[in-house]
Amino acid sequence: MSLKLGVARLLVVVSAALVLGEILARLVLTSPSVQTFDPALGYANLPHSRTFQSREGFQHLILNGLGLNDREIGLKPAGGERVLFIGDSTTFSAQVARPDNFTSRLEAMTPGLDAVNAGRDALGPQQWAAMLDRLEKPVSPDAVVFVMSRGDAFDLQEARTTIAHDPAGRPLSVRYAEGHEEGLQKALGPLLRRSALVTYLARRGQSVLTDTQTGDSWIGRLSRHGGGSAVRRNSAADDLDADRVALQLADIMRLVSQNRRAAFVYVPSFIYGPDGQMTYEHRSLLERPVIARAARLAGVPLIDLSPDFAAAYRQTGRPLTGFNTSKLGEGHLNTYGHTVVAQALHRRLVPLLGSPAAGAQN
Amino acid sequence: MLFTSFDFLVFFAVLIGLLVVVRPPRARSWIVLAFSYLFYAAWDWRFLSLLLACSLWNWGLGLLIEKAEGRARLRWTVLAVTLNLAALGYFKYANFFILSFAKLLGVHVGALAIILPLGISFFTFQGVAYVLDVHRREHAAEKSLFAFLFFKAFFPQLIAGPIVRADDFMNQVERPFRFNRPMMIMGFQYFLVGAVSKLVFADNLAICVDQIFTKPGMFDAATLWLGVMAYTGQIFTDFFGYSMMAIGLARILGYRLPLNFRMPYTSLSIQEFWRRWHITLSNWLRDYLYISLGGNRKGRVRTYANLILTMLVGGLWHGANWNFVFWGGLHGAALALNRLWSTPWLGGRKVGRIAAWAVTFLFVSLAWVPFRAADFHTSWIILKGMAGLGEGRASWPYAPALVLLALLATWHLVFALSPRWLKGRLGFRKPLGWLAAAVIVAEIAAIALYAPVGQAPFIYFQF
Repeated sequence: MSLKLGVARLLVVVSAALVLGEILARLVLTSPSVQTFDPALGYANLPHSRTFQSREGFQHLILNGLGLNDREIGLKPAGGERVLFIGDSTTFSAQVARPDNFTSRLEAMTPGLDAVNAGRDALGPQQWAAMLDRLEKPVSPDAVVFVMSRGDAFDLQEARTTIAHDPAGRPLSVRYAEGHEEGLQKALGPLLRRSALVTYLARRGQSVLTDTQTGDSWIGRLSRHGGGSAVRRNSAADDLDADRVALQLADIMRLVSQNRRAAFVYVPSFIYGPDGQMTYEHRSLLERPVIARAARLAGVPLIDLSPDFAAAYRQTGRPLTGFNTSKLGEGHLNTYGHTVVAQALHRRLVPLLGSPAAGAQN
Repeated sequence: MLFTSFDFLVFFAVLIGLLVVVRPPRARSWIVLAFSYLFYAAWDWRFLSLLLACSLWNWGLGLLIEKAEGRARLRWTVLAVTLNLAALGYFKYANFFILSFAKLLGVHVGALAIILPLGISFFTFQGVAYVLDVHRREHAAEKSLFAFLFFKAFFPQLIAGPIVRADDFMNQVERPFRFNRPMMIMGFQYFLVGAVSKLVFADNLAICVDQIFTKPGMFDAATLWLGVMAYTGQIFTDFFGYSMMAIGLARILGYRLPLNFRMPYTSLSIQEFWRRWHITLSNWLRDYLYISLGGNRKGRVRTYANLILTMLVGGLWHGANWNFVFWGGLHGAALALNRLWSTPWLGGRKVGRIAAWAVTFLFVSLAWVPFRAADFHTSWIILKGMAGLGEGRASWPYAPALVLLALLATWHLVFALSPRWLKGRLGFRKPLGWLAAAVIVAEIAAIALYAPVGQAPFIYFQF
């Protein structure tokens, strides 16, 4: 057989593979991206979109008219309260079925509570104010809860955030630098929204690029202009400028809680060991005291879920994070983790929000 | 520089580019040799001197052995073997023996600051095989220094084998270098098979294995069984993958390396397993250790003792750790038992094929526990937990590992049950046919979609 014929066959096979790859990707890997560039938030989820992921668990979701992982926003329950939960992927909960996420569970166990899930992947504290602006009118919440998880303080630091103040020193607005995901949405958005295969490969490509740039390879060193090493995300070498981040976070906490009932929740990450023992992951270990300090400075209530997690793991030996398609004890909350969070919030947050004049709690 | 890294792809592309541009065969061979040294220096340039020294003494002593007769011949051979083993002993085992003796004597001593040179177990064993072949007059000493340096340093086999012998390779070095299109295409296919085996199978199974073997006390019995099965799959696909990539790269450059694996997990006995697993090491141990110890020519008791001793050394070869010695001892004992079972003394009893396969596979899998675990205590926790006597409660039916193990099982089942003509069809006979093209695209797609991000070194690099 001639080489030309061989190459022609290869081309036919490659074309067929791309079509099959797209089908395969939609069936078992991911949906096409449901995100669109948004000048205020970096990117936002498209309203009424269907999304699917298999990286952690195997989950299909349908987003509501506001692009939130929740049912359509209707009338408030009579005599009840609506609480808006703003946070990152931990709040968005793409890994578990909607009835199993902590906002739905909390709602189910608290009569009269309408918990609105306003989580979005990688939403950092620097974007809380913009998210609140976007949702306050259509949702009209009675209270707002900002949920932080591992890495949020680092995100704030990496976003090169600047906060404008009035002459009295009160925070007025937040500005931050564009991140990788925003850049990707700007450059490839339309293609990503049409193809699951491209979406999947673009995300992998980004991870490979980061890994190469920070890795100990010739190409990595060249990309760092000969620099010996680079700090990897979530590595033990990660460092936090505690003073600067605490002050900025305190400003943001003040800004988003002005003239409204607000509370803050910290969902830590742990390394799970035998015999019910657990230790904080590196990033959580560093940012937990910073977040507590920021809440004290801002005078806002903070609920740290660490003791609840420790008690749950000690009792059952079941890690609260990880899935059958990802590492156990790592990544996002699993169904059990969401249950523990909901129970803890039911016990600790609901009484707190019940009193509009709630003071700081640490 | 891992075969699966971007660095290596660039390195190999530059090498091929140079070989296309430079036409004289001799110059091409020099380029391959220079790139082989560059490949080794990329890990740590200081150890190039060790590789060169090892090449030079084996070459020089090979010539002296060939010329000498009688006791002088034996003396040169002993010197050559001693030099190879001394290099291996110092770099790989010095700390192990010092610390073990210190522990035995109850004395506290610090470890020496010795870095283990990459591939030393392979290139010193290759040296021993060469001088013993010359001593036994099974291969003539190589006159050309260039050919010998090439034989020792050829980069596809340098770090983790296959352990290439002079008989397999020297005649290929001596002929003019040339590209051979069918061999290149076949080499590319071998490389891709190896890459899928390593990147898709081994590296994904490693995620499951690493987590379970690091904290076995957390997990319930079913998860521990999954971890052990996953490691059984991982170590095969990792080393098989490396060997296939090495064979493929060599073929792209026009050289043939020996196969290292023949579906070992289809074996019906431990003897058969060692004829199919890491074949070049098994052959080395048989030809240069077991036979040198007297093999089966010195009575039944000595035969069993030789088997066990050979496997203890084979275990120790894998690493300076009592875990490996124990693993080798287990296999030695199993080989002895296997032999005993087949003797007329026990009636040469036969068992059914399925039972024979199950016993062999179960033994091999369980023996991987001390091989992989950090220490004996961890092995004990795992084995106890697998028996349902552990305290771990976490269940983790890691789906990718289950899928990959099912695929591996299917692959082995198809191989075991397929008629010979079908195995031929599944090979690389028609490199540009529809089936081959589809397989190539599927392999590239599998790597693009499923290889975990981040480089995981090959397991056998540490040996």
